Amino acid sequence: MKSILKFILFLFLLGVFIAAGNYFLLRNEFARKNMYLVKAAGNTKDTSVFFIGSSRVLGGINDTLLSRHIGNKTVLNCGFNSGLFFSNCLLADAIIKRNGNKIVFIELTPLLPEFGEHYTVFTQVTNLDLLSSMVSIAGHDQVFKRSSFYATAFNNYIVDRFILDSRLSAYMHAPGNKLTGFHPVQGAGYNRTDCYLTSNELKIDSASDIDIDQHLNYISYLQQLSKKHNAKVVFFVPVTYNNQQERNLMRALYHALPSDLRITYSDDFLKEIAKPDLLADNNHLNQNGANRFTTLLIPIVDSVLKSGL
Amino acid sequence: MGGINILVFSLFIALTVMLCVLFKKEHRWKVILLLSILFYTLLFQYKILLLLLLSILAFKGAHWIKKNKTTAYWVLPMLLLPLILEKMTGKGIHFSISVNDLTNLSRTVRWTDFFQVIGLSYFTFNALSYVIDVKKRFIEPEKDWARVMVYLLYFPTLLSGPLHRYKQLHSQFFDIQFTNENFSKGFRLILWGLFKNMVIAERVHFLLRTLSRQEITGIWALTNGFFFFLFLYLNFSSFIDIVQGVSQIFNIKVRNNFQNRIYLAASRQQFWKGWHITLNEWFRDYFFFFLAKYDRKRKYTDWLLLSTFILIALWHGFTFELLVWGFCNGMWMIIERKLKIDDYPTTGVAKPLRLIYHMFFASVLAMIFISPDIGKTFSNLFLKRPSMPLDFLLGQARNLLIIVVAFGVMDFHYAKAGDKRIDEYLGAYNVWVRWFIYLKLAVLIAAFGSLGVIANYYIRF
Repeated sequence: MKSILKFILFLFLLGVFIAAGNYFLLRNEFARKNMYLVKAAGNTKDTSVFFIGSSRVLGGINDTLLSRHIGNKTVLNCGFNSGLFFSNCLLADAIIKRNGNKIVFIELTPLLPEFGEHYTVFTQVTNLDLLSSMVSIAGHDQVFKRSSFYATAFNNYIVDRFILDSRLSAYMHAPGNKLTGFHPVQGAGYNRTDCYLTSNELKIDSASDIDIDQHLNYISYLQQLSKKHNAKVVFFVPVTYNNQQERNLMRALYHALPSDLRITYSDDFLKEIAKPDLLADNNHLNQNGANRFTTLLIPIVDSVLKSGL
Repeated sequence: MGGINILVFSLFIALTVMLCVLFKKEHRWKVILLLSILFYTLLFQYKILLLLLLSILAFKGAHWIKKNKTTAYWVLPMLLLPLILEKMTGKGIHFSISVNDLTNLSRTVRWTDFFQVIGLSYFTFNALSYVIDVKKRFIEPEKDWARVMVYLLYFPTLLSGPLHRYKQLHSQFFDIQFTNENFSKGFRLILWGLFKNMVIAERVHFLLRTLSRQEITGIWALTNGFFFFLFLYLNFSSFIDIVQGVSQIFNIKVRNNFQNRIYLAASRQQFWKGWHITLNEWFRDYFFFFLAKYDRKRKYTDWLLLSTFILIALWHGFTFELLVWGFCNGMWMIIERKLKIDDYPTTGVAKPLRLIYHMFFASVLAMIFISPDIGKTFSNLFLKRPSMPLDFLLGQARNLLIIVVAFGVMDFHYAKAGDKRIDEYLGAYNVWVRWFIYLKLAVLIAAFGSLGVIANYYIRF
């Protein structure tokens, strides 16, 4: 049929454009700059530390500062804007399977089958096999029950690989062509402290009917995987929230995890961080906030390192 | 926010086309029906049962009403009951939920969950329209239940319309054919819809999500309303473009739901004539006109208008904010009617002034529509000093630039198209210009599109 042939020609022309765009945007030089980040961390004989999470990690954990205070170990901030727990776990899976000793801190965030900004580009240029991680992780979950979740995740991944926007924006805007790593936010755009996590929230569990089964499946999988690959996983809840639903979910997760699998914030820790001038907006720390948060994290990371893999 | 997975949807359409081709024309509607049931079952599992039960009620009810008109007194409320239960017991669809949607976190199953059916309102309105049209003797009741079902469950329109009268749609199911012209027209509409949805609407949605995290006060707070107004148009109308395109492939002409360039409306009256057309016509025909016939002296027209808008608001959700939104819309229409705004000049300086007038108040109403707390919204808007974080604007510069350019492209083509549907407008060009436009849109999607789903905010209404 004539229109089907025209449609095929149209798709071919579009394919040529996308392939050319990919070739230009993912040239070796750009890929090399990002590759060194993961390679540097993966090949070292010493233990490397990874922080995987959302924009709250991206703008909230100063990896250079942390590295300086924990014996110059390699610390890599793998935060991505809109990074959620599913994509955090996929990245953790891919990182854990690499060589070297690793401690992987993973932010506990909601589970949606979406990938953060620059996330797939990062995994593409660093040769992290996201599809294989997706298969591994799905193998430890109820795939049929959550078929729509995995179909959407697969769909989003494929579409993201075809659409050039993330590669284009990464190429143009990623600081120093580095796709991840600490990216501080300037300014103070929120004058209240109601977005901070409180000590009481960590002491009292939230409503018991929150469904955290899928989170726990992934956590258990990563825990088992890390034992096989010279790695250790530690989970942590964010210190800022902009909606109650997420707060409740995080509280449920926090209480469901044993203390050796999670970061436990002390009262003093939360009191020290809960200042309005440390906020960039109602969900993110600014540069001062990031430095304060990182400083408070130093003894915690240190003790995890000392406890060994 | 609700949406349809692009890969799965494309495969589903391809499968439907292939299966239809295998059958003779007179049997193709049966393929569409079976695949519509499959589509809904795959998406929402056992909830298809509710729709099947309601379609039996609509089918049988129409026959009962034909024999005895008074049966309508219980058939119509019974058809409406699940929708009322859904609206009363659901968490609703509020923009604050849409921007922070963390999927369904609760493991507690309530009996009312059975009524939380996506597409239920569109299904119910079509079913009511069928039964009422039989009652009014505009149509004869259908003898075959399956033929009523295909009208009610037709998969492209089930999730968010547009709404159709039985008379307009059902005969088209028996003329399903695949021609070059239908394919070309269908793909044009799908391409156009994807461009609007993935490039512009999703970027505006991202902007809104970012705006919702900022403390923006004073007149600047109106930017929330303004962008939401644009987002709603782009998001919903693009979904309708795609639905029209998919249907066109099957030789089914689905109605327009939005007038081209309705965002440039000069008055609220003009706006409502071109916005969510099929829903407004439904309320007009089955509610407003129904009551208006008892008001022979036209003494209560304003009250009827106000009640119609309040009802439309309640259809969106049973909340105080939406009630205020409906009331304000009704009052705005009444005031414009009294002042005869549409008789004022529309050329020269008056043109941009009228556009600003409508856009300003439309943005205020959009703010009410998305407000989680109306008092806070108004104190933010009118009592606080205007402030907009500069960092936010700088951080959004690239996104804003893409939105402006892509919106300009869209508006340019709509201006050229006039009242024509976009597939007809593109079809009028010679092959070179047409292909240039196709590739331009495709390149814009490939370069600046976002999200792997065809998002639709109205899918849950």
